[in-house]
Amino acid sequence: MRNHLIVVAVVSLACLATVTGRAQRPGAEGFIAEGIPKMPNPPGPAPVRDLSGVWVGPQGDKYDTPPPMTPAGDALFKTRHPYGDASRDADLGMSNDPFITCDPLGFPRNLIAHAVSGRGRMIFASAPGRTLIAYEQQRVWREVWTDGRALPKAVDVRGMPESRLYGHSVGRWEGDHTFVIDTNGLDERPWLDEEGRPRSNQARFQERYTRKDQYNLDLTVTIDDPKFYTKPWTWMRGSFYWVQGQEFAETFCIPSEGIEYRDSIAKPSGIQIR
Amino acid sequence: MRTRILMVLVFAGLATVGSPTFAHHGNAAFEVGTPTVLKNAVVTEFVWINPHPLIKADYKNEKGEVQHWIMEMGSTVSAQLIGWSRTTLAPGDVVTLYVWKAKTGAFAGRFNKVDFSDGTTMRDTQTGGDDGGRADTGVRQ
Repeated sequence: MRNHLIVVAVVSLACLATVTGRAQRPGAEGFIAEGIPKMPNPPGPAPVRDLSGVWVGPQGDKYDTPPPMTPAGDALFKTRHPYGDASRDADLGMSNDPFITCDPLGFPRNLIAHAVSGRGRMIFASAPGRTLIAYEQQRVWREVWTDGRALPKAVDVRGMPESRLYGHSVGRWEGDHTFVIDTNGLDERPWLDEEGRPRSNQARFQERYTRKDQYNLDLTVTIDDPKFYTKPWTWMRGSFYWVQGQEFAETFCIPSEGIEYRDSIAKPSGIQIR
Repeated sequence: MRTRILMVLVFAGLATVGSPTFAHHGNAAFEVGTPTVLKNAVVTEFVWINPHPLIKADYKNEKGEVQHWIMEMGSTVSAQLIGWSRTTLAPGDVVTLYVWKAKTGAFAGRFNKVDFSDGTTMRDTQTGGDDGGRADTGVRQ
């Protein structure tokens, strides 16, 4: 929290500064450059039933206080050792956060800004019978079926599908500008959030993406997980923006790069990796 | 068998990491405030990696001594969104670097901004007018 506040403060102060010459640098990705048409300004209205394109976020994401956990949820939560939480882990080097070893973030943690190094891009695209959502971080994607099929009634039992790190998802439009995704069938290994809260294979998530205008997209995510939590709650609210150039970067968690970072800058600088 | 050997190698590699590598961190290790200015520094390497790009540069101080500096930027993802790329800096570039120095006293720190020889400037994600490449930049400000 303290670091978030510092970052917010630094960014806020920095926003007062004038940036000059940035766009003139060669090879600047993500900027309007020669050959890339400028977006209409101000933004036009939201197109009808269309989220396709590259979005950045979440921005301004907020997380409601979770309800009390069930004994099963609490027991699993106690095995999690997040970094950066000195109140729970005196030895900050003993974190077992999957992120540290480049294990999959899974859904919905891959939506969290912090988990994707500040913010990340995602692409909404379509394929027959489904919407695809691809994420810049680790280049993973989700399939959201829109052909009217139902979610699996159970996973990891005979005759039923396997659980998945990013779950099973179906989607539908509510009106012209809100796309609703229901997800269940999650593999229980990924964490729900940065704190290490669990989410179970009985959890059901609902994402509601509302395109406010051409360039702005709001998201609300709710969770109902009776195995680990005593009641449903709104897990996250955030927003995404349409990015200039519509570029999609290659962002992998690569162990060798992490080692290079640790040895060449973190150690000599005395950075407390947490 | 080959797959099994590969897996062993991968896990052995991860085991050597020991402490966390892909972890977020704050700026507590740096003297955040007035940055150290490295005028006419010569870039020796621009390491475009996750979780943070690294700038390596040689700086000759007023005594003529060459200091080998290394500094980290914000997250690679965010840097891309404000125009940085793998080729923004290249070995041999003569630039002025602004850096928050590490409290350890090493020639290491947190990158702040760079002045290029053509008079242009680029900032880090946390230090300057970061609109993140919004398509509607200018509309809300």
